[in-house]
Amino acid sequence: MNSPTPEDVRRFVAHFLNQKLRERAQAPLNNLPDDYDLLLSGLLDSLAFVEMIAATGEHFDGEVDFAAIDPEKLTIIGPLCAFVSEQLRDRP
Amino acid sequence: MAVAAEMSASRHIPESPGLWWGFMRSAEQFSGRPALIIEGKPLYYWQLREMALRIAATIQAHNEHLETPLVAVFAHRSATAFASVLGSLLAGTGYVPLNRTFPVTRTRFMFERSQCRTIIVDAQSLPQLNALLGGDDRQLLVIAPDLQDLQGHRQQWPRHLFIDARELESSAAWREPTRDQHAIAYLLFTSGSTGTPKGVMVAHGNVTSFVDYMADHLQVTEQDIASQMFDLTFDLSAFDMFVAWERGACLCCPSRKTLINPGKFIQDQKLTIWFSVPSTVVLMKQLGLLKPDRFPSLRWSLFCGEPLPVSCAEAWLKAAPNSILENLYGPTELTIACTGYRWRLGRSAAEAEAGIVPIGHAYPGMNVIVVDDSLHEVEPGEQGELLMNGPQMALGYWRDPEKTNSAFIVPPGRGQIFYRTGDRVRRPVGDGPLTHLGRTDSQVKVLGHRVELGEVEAAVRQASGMDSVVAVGWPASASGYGGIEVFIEGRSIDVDRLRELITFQLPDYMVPRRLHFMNRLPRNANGKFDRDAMRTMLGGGK
Repeated sequence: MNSPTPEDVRRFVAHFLNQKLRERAQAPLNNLPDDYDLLLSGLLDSLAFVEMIAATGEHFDGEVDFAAIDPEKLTIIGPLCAFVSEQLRDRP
Repeated sequence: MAVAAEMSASRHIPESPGLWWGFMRSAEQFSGRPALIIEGKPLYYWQLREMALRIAATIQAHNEHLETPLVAVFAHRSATAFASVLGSLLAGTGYVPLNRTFPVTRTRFMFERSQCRTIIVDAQSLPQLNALLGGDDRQLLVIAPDLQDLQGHRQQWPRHLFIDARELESSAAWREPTRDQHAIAYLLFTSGSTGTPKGVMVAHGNVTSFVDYMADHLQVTEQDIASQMFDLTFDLSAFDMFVAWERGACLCCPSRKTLINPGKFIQDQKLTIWFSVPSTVVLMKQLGLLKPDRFPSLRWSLFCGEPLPVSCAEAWLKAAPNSILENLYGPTELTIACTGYRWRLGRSAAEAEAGIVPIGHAYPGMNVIVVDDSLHEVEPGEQGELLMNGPQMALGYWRDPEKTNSAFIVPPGRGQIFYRTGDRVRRPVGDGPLTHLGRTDSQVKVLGHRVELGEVEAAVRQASGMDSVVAVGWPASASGYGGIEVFIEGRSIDVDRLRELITFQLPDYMVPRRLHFMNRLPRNANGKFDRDAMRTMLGGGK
């Protein structure tokens, strides 16, 4: 697969989250604005967030380096998608 | 020195006035040092003492309302949460931690069951407060130490007494409580096998006995910075708070965001003492966060709460090479931890059983017997249920003599009460360590055969190289279960090859019918594997 763009990552994240919401019998998200905080909104806890990042790496056939993640910024959709896209682009 | 002798070196148990005493002594001696770092901000000993004393004095000023010696602390990872725990103890009452991340129906059950008539609430838990007050027609005292305006609540609940930050008593009004080592320090609810949580009454003497030993054993000083990973509703949080504060150390509480990357938390805060459930290590290992020499600041690495895989212990020690790793064991009823095992290079791997680090030796003063179904001691080398007693044995279950009598028993010919842990261990031979083999209730009948699910898990763990493996009986039948299904945390691997390897090790009836790979296995609020949730996923609850 080609390197994913931030928009590709956003689409996958939205898919992942809506799957979670369906499991909880909750309404799906209509949009994911750049400033949406996945943790502070209560949508994911820290472990589920880690699971989502791992699933994203798996989906795009790459690995995200968790050690490089700044938790303060990267639970927010805009910076998150940009970071993951960049990480997967830099893969060997 | 032999390991057993090292673990059981005699400990001095001073007659402490109460669990709050160590904190107050440190607050006197180290008043200008940080007691707590929360959301990245330090709270110094003198500040935390002032907050705690004002809360304590406020409880004492209204103590005519108290029908029970307990105060509910409905606060989570905030300065108010920690000050309220201390404030409750300083007032001469025990604390009952409540957690806003739990389903509110469970929180309400705990609150009502504990019969607390005083509740301390922090700002972030306030939105759930109405759900707790709704079912109570008694007058309650509600203390909100970090809120300035409770007008809306006062109007909505005229029968309850609300006290906000401006109305707290002065710290000078605090009176030292009566000394009673048998008084309840905290009441913690644990899952009951019937689905109803049980309130475990843990006395001041139980905890001070543990804290005195651990603070000495770890040689904690005011230079230490300790992790605070456990919610207050998990009894291991009592280790975090009271062992650190006993010696003037700093407790470092991660924010929810920081929990995403525990490795960064250790590095940024330069932690010296780490204490978590092994699941955190499993996760960090899976995510590649345990790089060699990543955590040089750590001098202690402690794990408790569930089995610690050998592979995780080895990976952790490479990342934290300057630390001593100990695997602790202890049910809430035996106060935080009551046995410990120190990992030793070149020796421990051979002492492990089924890829799991041993739980070691009993702490000083704690007594161990390993018994069969008729409660008679088994021979060395045989397995049985672990029974323990000693200064850390809790008082029993809150207002539930029936459950207390069935768990705290006198084995035949013993003349002393022991607590039945429900854990299956191997009785050591000679000076060897105790090894944990699973729960006694993890034994199921499959097609008429007795099967230890732990044995299936060990075989799959070994064959797959995966650390997190859970076996459940499925589907239910009149005589037990029709087979076994296994859940594995991690990416799917060659299932045919895995099944082939398992078949070499297990008889047909123990070979899992299906292997389920998941990115993350379901866990309960304390981070332990949730077997009921896995059975529900298979389609039929328990």
